[in-house]
Amino acid sequence: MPDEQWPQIQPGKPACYRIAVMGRVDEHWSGRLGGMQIASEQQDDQPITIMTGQVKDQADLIGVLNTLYQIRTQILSVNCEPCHEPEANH
Amino acid sequence: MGPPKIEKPADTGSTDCRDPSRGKQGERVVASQNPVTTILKTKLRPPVMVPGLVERPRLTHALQQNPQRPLTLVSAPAGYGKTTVVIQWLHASNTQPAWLQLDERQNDLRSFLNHFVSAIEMHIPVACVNTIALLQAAQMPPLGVLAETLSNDLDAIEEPFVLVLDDYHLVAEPAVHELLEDLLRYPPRSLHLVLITRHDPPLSLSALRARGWLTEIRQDALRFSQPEVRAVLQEMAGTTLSDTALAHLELEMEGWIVGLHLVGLLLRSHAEPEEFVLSLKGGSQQVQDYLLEEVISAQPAMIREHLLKISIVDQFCAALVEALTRVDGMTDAQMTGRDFLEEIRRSNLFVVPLDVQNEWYRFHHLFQNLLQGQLKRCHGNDEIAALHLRASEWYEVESLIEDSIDHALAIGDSQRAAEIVERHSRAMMNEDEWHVVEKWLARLPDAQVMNRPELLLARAWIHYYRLNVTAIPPILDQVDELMRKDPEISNLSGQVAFFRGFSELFKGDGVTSLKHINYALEHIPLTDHEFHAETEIIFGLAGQMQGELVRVTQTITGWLAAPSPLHPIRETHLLITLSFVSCIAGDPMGAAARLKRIRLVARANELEYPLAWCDYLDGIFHLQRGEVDLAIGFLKKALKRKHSQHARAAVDAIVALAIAYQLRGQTNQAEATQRTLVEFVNNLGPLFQPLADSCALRLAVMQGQSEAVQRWLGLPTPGVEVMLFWFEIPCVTRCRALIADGSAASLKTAQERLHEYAVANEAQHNTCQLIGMLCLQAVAYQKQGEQEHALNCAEKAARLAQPGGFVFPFVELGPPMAQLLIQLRSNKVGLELIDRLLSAFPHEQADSRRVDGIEQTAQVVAMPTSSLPQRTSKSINAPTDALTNRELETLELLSQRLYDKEIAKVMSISIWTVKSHVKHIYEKLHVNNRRQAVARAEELGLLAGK
Repeated sequence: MPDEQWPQIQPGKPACYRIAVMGRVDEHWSGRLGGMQIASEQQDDQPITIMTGQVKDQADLIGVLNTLYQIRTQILSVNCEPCHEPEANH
Repeated sequence: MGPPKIEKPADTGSTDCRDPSRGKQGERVVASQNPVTTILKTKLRPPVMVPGLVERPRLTHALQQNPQRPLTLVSAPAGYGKTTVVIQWLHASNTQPAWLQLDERQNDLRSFLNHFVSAIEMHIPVACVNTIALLQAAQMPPLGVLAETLSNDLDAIEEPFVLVLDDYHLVAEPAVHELLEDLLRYPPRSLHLVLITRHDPPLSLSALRARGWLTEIRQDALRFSQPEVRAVLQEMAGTTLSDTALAHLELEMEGWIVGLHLVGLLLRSHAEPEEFVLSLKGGSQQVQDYLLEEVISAQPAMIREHLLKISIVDQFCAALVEALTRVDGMTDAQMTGRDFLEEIRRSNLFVVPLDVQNEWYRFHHLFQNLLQGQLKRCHGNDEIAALHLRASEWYEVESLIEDSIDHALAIGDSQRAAEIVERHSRAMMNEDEWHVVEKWLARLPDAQVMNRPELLLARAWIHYYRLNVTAIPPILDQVDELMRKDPEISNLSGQVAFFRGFSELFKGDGVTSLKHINYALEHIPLTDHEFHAETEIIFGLAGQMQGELVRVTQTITGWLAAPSPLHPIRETHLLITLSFVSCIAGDPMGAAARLKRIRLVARANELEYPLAWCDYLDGIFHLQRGEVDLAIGFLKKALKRKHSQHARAAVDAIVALAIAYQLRGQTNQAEATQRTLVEFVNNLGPLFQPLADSCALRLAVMQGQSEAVQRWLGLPTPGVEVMLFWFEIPCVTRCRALIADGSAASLKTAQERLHEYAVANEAQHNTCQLIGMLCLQAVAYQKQGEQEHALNCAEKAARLAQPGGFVFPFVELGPPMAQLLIQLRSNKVGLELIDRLLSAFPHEQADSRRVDGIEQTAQVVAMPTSSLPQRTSKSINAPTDALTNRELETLELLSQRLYDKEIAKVMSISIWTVKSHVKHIYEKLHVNNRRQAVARAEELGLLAGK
């Protein structure tokens, strides 16, 4: 994603993220991953999992990343994205 | 199998503990009133509310809004005033919280839970007795059991209370998160948990939010608004800024209180506050560094120097300040530690007071980090290493061993770290704090441990306590090697001899064992009472094995009669040893009399472990004597204490309970107990699997399930062991199965093995087990058609059994044994016991075996066993009696975490009616507490809200 499209993040305000990790993450983890939506994909025969959703702030985001670390996933990318749907976090 | 071990459990941790010199695991509280006493308490008390804070009603109001919610999360980066806001809220609402300041050391479940319950018990004494009992177990019970027990302990607390866990982000141990997750699934009614953290914890926060159970205070709410910024600067520096300057400051600082605080410090002495503020540019990070440099360099040289030096420790008191800042061994005459603390407090230099006595302080974390950065820039590595060494030395003198090790390792001085452990491990082991020593040892490089006999032996003891006895001999060889090189260290030879004696005993060699043990008794000083007491147990068992019952009993009775009072650990050890030896000698009632005294001593000293032994021993003694009802009562108690008991004894108690139920014909209870056993053993690991399997086999034999017995016989034969007083011995039960099978080959094998065991037990003077072997031999001979041998064996067994009144070994064998006894009676064998024995058989058994038919068969199939492949599985879905409408209503309110009092109000009924509804609900749902009731109701879809 080109730089100019990066959304403005305000300190302490919600923002939307797309996180890709190697392997599969079961959907039941959603509750502990800030309620992010979890989807599996195949890439070059490798299963990867994409999590998308809105975090409340950076503490929430770090909590999500920390949970991913705790369940021993390998993180491929973390991207801030524009919030298309206002209710991304239902 | 491991040895019987009597260990002293850790303190209950209540504030009024009997012996003030003993603290929780992981900490030693020193008796005298000195800074060290307070530092340990500071972790369990909220930081002190400092005067002059700007009030933030919008936040305190948000926190107060819903005190019913089980969880409050305060989540924001460092320096946003999270802890302060919580303190302000608690102060405003006049709440005394339970508080736990976390650090990296609570990163294992046992240590975390120990601190967790200590924090609660500081506030509500003896609130968590059941949880504490579990924490004393050598092997922690599974997480589910811990969470359930903790939840029930907390649910029983009548008044609502607040528990704050500060710096929760430092917890990295997944099991701790799991525990809280489990706890919050059905939150205890009284608990309001507050987590203060730099990032969100891995808990199901969305679910809690959805239930309306979560209050959140996040970065956005914590940032200081313009009016608040104005108030802060006014309070700190007496400066009033223009709106433009305030707006600029708010923009640059993003409402970050630490930054504002720095500005406030600088504004005090600034001639042009407006200009200064407007000149701050470049974003909060740059501003922060710049401000900090300014603040530090504005301090007088001596204060600045002290600040840098002190930044290496996480907390400090006057004495520690002096230890770190003294020059050439001289304390600074111009400024004592107390003066310095007074000075930095006055100048408001980010010091957080940790206790009301004003003894201990810490720096704000960010301030400490920045000071440490400056220290590295201004001082060489040697100087910094010297500071850590001073800190390490100071902590060691004050018995804060963990901190002392921290600072030694911080400078890579693993030799010093090993020496510290060497100097302090034995005292810790004597306090039965071997878990702590285990943690210390884990931090040392192996090379340091391998060359130090003291540490190697500490490792051996830890293996011993963990019943991991096969790991011990290589350690002893290494110690021997070191002792050969350096005869100076032979003072540890007593401990080596103990382990050798112990190992010989379990090989069945009483003579060699006693030789080692006598040496150990001479060479282990009495002051090492833990080691000494373990040695005394082996002395008793080995002496009894040599047929020296009388001498052993006299010697131990002599020790017990010593003029000076015995340490309660040693006293209970000795009494239990006497019970062991009388039982093995075939006199269980002689043992039972001693159990009364053990209970008295154990209760007076709040020792859980000997009590667990008493329940177990009373249970098997009464069972052996055929007093089945009494036995079941004790064994049920033993089952409750299973987690605080020696694992082998706990398993044995559960087997005995299952068999006792079966003897009474209560097949369902026997099966249920067997299932409990399987679950328990799964958690313990593979060591005890043979015992669980053996219990299943023994039940199958008693139930006449020949097909199941056949399947078990296909598995490998269990090993032979020294049998002591154990109720269940797998290799013997295998013989029961062979006899039940009844084929000529099986009977022959059984006879050979039983003969071998009988000879061994006779040689070891083990009357208790010999009776059992003879009974089995008698029945086997009878099946082989050798009536005379059979009668001989039965008669011999009865003669041995008469003095102690052993009944069970006969009764368990059912009709064949009954027939032999009838024969003996008609042969006019003059034994009073035979009549008693015959009357102990169930009437139906005298002629034919009672079989419940289909139902029994189905149960055996459903029996879970992990060694034997199951053919079918059957879920245990006990039917639920219909609940009345009022009960359903009550259940609904229970699930909403209402107290009985509140439920009574809502339903307009008396609290007694509520209690009666609750009781009926538990009965109908087959549960024991609220948590289980709500969980079960959810499963059954009984809750309207779900």
